[in-house]
Amino acid sequence: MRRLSSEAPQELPPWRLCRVVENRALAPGVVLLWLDAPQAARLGQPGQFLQVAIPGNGYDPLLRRPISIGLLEPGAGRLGLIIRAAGRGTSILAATKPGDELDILGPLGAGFPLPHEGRSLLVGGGIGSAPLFGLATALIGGDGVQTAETRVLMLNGARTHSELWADELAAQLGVPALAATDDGSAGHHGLVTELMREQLAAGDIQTVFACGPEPMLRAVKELAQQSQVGCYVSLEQRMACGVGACFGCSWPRTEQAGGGYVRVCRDGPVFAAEEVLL
Amino acid sequence: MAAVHNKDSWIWAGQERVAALLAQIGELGVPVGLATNLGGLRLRNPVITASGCYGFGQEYAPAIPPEALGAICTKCVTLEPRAGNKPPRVVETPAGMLNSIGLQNPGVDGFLRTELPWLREHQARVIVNIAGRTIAEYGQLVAKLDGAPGISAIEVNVSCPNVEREGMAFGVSAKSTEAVMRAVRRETSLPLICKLTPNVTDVVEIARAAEEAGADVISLINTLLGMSIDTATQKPVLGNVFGGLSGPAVRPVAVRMVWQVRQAVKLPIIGMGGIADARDAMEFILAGASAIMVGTACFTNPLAPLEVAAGIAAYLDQHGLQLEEAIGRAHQR
Repeated sequence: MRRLSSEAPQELPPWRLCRVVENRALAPGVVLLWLDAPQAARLGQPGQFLQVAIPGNGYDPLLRRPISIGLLEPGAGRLGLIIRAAGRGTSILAATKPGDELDILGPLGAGFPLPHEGRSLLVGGGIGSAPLFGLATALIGGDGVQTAETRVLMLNGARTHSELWADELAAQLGVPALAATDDGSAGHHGLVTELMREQLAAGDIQTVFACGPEPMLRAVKELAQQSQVGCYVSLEQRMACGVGACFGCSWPRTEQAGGGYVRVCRDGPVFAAEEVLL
Repeated sequence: MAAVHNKDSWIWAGQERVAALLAQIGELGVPVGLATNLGGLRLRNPVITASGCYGFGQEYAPAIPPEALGAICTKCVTLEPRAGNKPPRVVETPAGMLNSIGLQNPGVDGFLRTELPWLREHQARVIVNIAGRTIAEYGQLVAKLDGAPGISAIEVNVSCPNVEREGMAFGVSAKSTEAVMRAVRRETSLPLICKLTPNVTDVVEIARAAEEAGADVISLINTLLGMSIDTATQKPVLGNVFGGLSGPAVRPVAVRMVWQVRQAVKLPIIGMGGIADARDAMEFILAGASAIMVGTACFTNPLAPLEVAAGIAAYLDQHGLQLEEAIGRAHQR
């Protein structure tokens, strides 16, 4: 009964292929890559991620790159990945062109819980602002009653104005936002968490969502705790499988949450701030 | 406000692809030409998922039905639960990766309580990979596993540090490898697989010691010890400093060692090290392996084990060979 084609199956399984439809530069080294990926766009939730294979032949780079879902357009069957060309793999991804094919696994992981009411503060540092856009647009689009301002305020931090792509993108998408730069070349001169402190003092924030460098997340968690508002963080860790099998992307869990380690890829990447050690 | 997302949505539409691959290796439960027998361990096909690369089978089950695999070799199980090493635990290297997971696992009791019942329920053929800190621990582990229903074989990881010998890995000495294998042999009649480390001067000497001590099967290679330094921070990348190298980069070393062991011992061999497709798998089979393990490739392609099995079937068909005839064929003059 075994009749086989003479060739070993080497083609990419079609179920994981999608096509780049647009590559838009947001800042030097940062692009917004729109993918035509109807199933992933339909299933994806803000805060989830894709494991994207690096196009090219051979085994170098070997591993997929975990890239958070930046923007979702399920109706149009598209999703947007915001990619910073940080190393060899992400540089190759950032240089893909419309028509190029990408091999994706996803959507993966647990994304942001969506609060049904109240005003949320979204705090992003550098490329960490990327997954917050999906959340911001979901919160704003969620109901026709409340205005954007009553639902969301985004705070974006960057080293300098030329890296402040997130502030421009927020303006284009109608997401209320404030900016901070380390050198004061745009927005608040200083840390994004200083802006956060001011906003928390105003008193109408119910939930904080954050993604960015670890020192920033540590400060965000502390400020949220002081103000007794709910806080969720999206973590980044070196990853291999992306589905929870290899235990490579482990992150220490707080003693109060049971200690040991969580898997960023499957238990997260979004965690309640009190669950993870920062 | 808990995040309730379907974490298995990544398998969308993969079923068609899986069905096509299953058809290539023969209908489920109808092994055609791919069945293999290793020292009493009977497998439906010669493709096993490598320890540490497939968890306890649950994460990948939405992609591949567990019963379709030759066997699932579990993540390493130890006597007590282990939290694992400090992150970062993985780093990519040229055509490979380093890992230092640190044997994070629920312990043998946790395994028997939560993981094994699931594997049984899904009709997986199960090889349990084990590691101890002392020779006595190896024996205790096997005693606990022996008699538990649903275990087809035990793979003994001798690459971990011996706390009674200043942390020197058991598997780098023929004497301590033999001592471990004798200790586990006393506790069970299940097929015992001795998994060899490549971080030795003479792998053949270790393989002979394992054979002498009553191993039924030799598997090789475990990862090659390596490290990576971040030139930006000027510090080691891995929290544990050293890690095990795997992936296509190690394949030639692994093929060479399978070849050498095949010439020196009579035991059946399970070959592994950087197998990503059927051609790679055939190198190991032709070098003398009766079965192979797919590890790191699962991370980049979750369907790799099935694709390898289907590709082996295609290769054998194309060359008019039975699996048995292909094993060690490269040694023929």
